[in-house]
Amino acid sequence: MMYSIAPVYGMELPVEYVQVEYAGFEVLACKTDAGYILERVYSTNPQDFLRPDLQPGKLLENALIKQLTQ
Amino acid sequence: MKEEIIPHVFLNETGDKTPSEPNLSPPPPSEADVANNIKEFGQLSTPGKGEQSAIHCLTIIGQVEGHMSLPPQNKTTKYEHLIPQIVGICEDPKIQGVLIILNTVGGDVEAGLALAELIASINKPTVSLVLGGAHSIGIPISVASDYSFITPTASMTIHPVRMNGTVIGVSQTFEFFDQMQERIVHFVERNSNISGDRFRELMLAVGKLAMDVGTVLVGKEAVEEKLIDEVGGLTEAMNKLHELMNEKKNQEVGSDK
Repeated sequence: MMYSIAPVYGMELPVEYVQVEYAGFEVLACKTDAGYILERVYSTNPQDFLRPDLQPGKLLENALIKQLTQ
Repeated sequence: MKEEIIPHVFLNETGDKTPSEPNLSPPPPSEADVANNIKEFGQLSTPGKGEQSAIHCLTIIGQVEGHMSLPPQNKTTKYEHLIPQIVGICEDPKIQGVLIILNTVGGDVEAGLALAELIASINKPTVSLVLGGAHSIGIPISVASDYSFITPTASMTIHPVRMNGTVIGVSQTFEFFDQMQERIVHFVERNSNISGDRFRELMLAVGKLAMDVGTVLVGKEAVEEKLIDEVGGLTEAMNKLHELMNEKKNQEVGSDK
């Protein structure tokens, strides 16, 4: 249920998500033209969510990305 | 079986195609660095990245995402990141106060109420500042803090909840909507000085929004309606947060004696 003055748009655009290991953390990243953008952090440690380098929207450093496939 | 694949080389933030060096946080300045700063520049360095502030700033921006992720071009607030972050704030002894800054169009009801309830139950002083706008579900989030401010030009839209998707044409649908709306009304009533009846009146007012039902409150109107505590900006919000932090510290010292 949306409680917003803004309409929902852009849902039809294809978005590719990929789960990667980034600087030792499991994260979900969104693949864009600019690179991998952090979408979500998978961690049970609340302190990990305070790290400035693990905030959603951050452009991930290529050297720290280890891509995993299943 | 998991395979290790060489990642694509994308352009990094500087436009360089080569993989960049890991961005490690710089270590805090040593005593020799501080002395050198005074000698070379005649001043002490201001707290940099190495030193953590006692105040944590939580921003609620764009749309509050719910159970569906919005495409990346949207500015969003992700509750699945903020919820454990708030837990981390409560646990971290270095953080003594939280400043919540809002500029949001609203979003998912349950995600918004989840954030609002968590902010209301943080065990440290919290102050919210509405900049630009705090519409729809942004209202419960903005009143959840211990004290709230709104800038003179910021606005808050109060309107009934809405839903996309398949709607069954029975009276129970209206009762469901009403129940969802009452959750929001009760939360705002509990956490601000506005009465539930007045909030419902503003929510259902006609003739104020084009082709819609509701009310827009700008700046001091939100204070006059007792939704927000005070008109002010960043200075006022920071001063109030420091005041609340000192009060809490004095209370803790008093209880230890």
